[in-house]
Amino acid sequence: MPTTTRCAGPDRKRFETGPLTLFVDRFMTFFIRFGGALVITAVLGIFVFIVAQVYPLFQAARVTELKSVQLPPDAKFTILGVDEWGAKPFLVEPSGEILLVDFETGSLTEAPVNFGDGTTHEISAASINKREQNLIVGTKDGQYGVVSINYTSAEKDGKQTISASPTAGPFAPIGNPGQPILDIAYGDSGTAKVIVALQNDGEMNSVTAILLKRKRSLMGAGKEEIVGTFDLTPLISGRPTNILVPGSGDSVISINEDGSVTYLGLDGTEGFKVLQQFKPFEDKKDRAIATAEFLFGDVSLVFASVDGDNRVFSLFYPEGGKVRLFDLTHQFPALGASPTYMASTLRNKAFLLGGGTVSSLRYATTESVRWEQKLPFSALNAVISGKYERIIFLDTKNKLHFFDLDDPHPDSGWKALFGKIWYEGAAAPKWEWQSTGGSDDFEPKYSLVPLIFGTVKGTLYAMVFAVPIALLAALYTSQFLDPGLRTVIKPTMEIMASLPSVVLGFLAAIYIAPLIENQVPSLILVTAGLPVAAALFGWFWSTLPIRLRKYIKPGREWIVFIPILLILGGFLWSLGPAFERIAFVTTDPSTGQKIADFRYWWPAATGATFDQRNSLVVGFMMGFAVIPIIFTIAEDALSNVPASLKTASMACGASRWQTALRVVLPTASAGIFSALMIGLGRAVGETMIVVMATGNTPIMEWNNFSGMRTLSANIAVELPEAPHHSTLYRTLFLGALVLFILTFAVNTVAEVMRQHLREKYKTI
Amino acid sequence: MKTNISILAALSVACVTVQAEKLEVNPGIAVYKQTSGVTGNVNSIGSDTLNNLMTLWAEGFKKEYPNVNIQIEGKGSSTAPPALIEGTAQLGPMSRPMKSSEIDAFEKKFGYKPTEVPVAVDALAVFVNKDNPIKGLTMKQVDGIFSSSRKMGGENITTWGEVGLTGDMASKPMSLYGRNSASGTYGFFKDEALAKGDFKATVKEQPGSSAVVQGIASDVSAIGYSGIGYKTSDVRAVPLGEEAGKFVEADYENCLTGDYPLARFLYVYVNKKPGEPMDKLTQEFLKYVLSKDGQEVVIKDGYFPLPKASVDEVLVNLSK
Repeated sequence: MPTTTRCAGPDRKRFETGPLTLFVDRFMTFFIRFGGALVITAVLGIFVFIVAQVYPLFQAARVTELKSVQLPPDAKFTILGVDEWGAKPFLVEPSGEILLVDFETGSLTEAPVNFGDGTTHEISAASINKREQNLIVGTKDGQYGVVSINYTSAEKDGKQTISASPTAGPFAPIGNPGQPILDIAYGDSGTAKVIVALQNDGEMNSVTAILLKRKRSLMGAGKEEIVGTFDLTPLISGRPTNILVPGSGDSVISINEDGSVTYLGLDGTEGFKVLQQFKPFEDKKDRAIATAEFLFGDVSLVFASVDGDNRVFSLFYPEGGKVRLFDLTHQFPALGASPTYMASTLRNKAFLLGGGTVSSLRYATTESVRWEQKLPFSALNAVISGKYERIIFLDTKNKLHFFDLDDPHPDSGWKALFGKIWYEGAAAPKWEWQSTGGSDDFEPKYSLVPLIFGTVKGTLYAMVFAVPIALLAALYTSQFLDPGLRTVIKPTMEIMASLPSVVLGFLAAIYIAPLIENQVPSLILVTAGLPVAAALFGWFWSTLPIRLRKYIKPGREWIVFIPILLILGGFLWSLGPAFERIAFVTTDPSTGQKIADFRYWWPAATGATFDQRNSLVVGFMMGFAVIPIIFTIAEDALSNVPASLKTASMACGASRWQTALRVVLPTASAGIFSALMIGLGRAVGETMIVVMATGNTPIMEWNNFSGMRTLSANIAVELPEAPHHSTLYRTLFLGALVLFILTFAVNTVAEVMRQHLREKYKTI
Repeated sequence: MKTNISILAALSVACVTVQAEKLEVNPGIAVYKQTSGVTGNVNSIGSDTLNNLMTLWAEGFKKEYPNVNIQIEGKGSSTAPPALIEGTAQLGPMSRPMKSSEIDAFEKKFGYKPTEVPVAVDALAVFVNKDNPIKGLTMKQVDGIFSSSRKMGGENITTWGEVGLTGDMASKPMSLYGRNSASGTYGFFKDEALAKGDFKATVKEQPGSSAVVQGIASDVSAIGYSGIGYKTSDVRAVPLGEEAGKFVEADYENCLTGDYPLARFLYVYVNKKPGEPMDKLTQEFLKYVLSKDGQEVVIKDGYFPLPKASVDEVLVNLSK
């Protein structure tokens, strides 16, 4: 029988890889690459998305002309006003006619103001109360009246049409009968109303105020009653040229010819008194005030001098003062022209300042110029629509120019987010986070600095608590503990790592915080006492004769050790109240009694506050979340040190401790470092524990008995109330970006260090 | 101002014995009439002050229409406008009127303004512990207690002695409780009681009204604010007034006349296109809330019912 086939040797195909295996191999190579690319794309995508959300925060305002409407060229106008949409501005003619200009059609309609009694008056002064869309006018013969513009909006086929039907209240005389009114203003708080008129008798300027009160109830306002009429002229030193009244209806601002400002406040119902007299441009060459206007909220006054200098003064309590007074809070670069008009809005602290062809949109809070341009025409007057979406200029040729204003985040920018800012009502510039208020004129405070501070503080306290415990535990478990027990300890710690942080936070807020609050002295004793006791016990144990020590196998010392420490810990804890009576006694300033209570002693001794929900609680609980992570990774690194190294060390006569410290620890240092960094990363991003266990107070102090607000907790707390694409929404995304950059930086540093350590101990 | 504790104690005993006048819904408000074809889901996101009330209304409404499913979430009034704009909720309960900026955002998306429906009357109360003998506080004092900017012009107040208490209480520092900034109660109190000033940093911001009341109940030196509906037997609503000596109780009568300075409406905001009827489920729910049945629930929860004039006005607006 021929045996050729057998002689050919074994089947060659046996040595070839099967087609299926090859296919799977190729597929998996592709699949893993594809998956990897997908992961990188996803991470990059998230990054790009966050950056895209954040980017608009740093954009400047865009102002573009929409159209212009020619008004009757010979007409003269006393005032220019606008509705909240910027779609139907009105102008008042001296004859009392109100000219309404429609943006869509460009049509002009005249609505005569009915003076009630049928007579005609020549209007000599007018001012607008933007919030109520009301106009107060003063006449040449010394009368005043309130005109409501009554804007209404109707929507049809997706298009909005605005209509207006002005009505006038009855006119009444004010001040010196028959004298022309030069300026008039009023402020209405709902219950109190002040009407102030500036008149001229040919030589002197006089100022008269009428105070009205009414009762306000849920069912609407009651009838107005005049409480009194006051002559303010003797109170004002200087010749008043301009009057401003805030919406609180309790004070009057008089701008005088010599560049001084008189701030008058209501003194009960008895009359007015001078609260302050100041010169905004005291240090400048020309002190005369060209224009002045209240910013939205009526707490800040913007002044512009004849030279174009521009300053903001706000009301706040000076140090030790009992009355709020105006003082310089913001200073802007000078306008390159003499200002003729200033306009504020109903949404934020922006104002438009201009003169001649120069116009500049500025934001008071952040001291930033949002937009500035030379216009192709010379503007006489300008207004910003209530919604901060349109600017309307009236030029010298009686042409009305409509501009679109696109500035969704005027209150943002580098300075707002990271700089110290002088907010309204504050006595000094500061970093502050307070994003939401109950009213429109609230000045949002978007400083990320307190949040970054809080993140660092929380992380630091957590690490201070976690690192020593976790590392020492890892060292002990891997090098000294009985190996049988190690197989139990490690999984137990890993289970601890899987505890949801919500549960830890809950525990911290409900149980730990009240416990620590009452037992701070006990806590101090225990934290100081136990490590010392442990070290002492170690020393004591090592001095014991070997015949006693031999009963406990190496690695089982804890059998003696733990009960002793437990008893000692309990003893120290119970000693707390006694310790408190000795060490933490403070005197109550109001009664003179001595109180032994740490909660009173801490503020009295350090000047810092004591909160129940404090950093100690957070550090403690966050430590709990971090310890298992650091422990497991560090323990792995320590256990993976080759046994040959250890035995060699021991054989050379080194003790267990010397081996652990000089041989094992350096060899495992790269791994231990990774453990620390991963723990740090966890602490930085930890959210729920911080949300639940702190008061979420965005404060900036290292005090361990006060709380904090971290970046991640801030996002969790505020995102539900942030309207989409609002400044707050984007700022929260910026918080996320900062967190991302923070962890990225930490991880990069960690990786570099790790590589370095690995390189260093590679030879061992 | 010195007050005699024993007289105060006697007074407070007298107050307890005087039976509070029983509140009743105005008989002119109609009973709810069931209609057909009401099914589906409705979500409500917003005020915590209104949370219990919304739940009670939802229960009552489900008795009428068992096929209706109502979900209620109450974290604070500021969460209502975003939810209405994003369409995640059809009902937006709020304990303060919407801010113009919130209305702007809504108007930008839909082209019209949201519809405001007052649903109950609330006296925002300043609560103290039941063992606190304080007789009353002026609004200036309230401002001095809670505000760091003190826009009302009063003195800074930190201990109970400074508002006239004597004995043990005099040296006790006030422990301040308040709401978080998402809350409409926080906003309203800031506007009305602090004259738009700022809160002191020491005011503990609690996530809910019940947490405020609990905090006050367990702390004799505490003072805090929340809607009257959260009142329990462990706390007492302090009478308030514009001037010392003229204190006014936080009751229905004083809220309607405007004598009680912190009276307010509670609202539900809905998305209703002008000139078009609302979706039926939401409309029926609001009709139920504004009916005699719905307003009885208001009393049951400790708030005050709407006066007839408001109900009539709202019903006309809703049918427009």
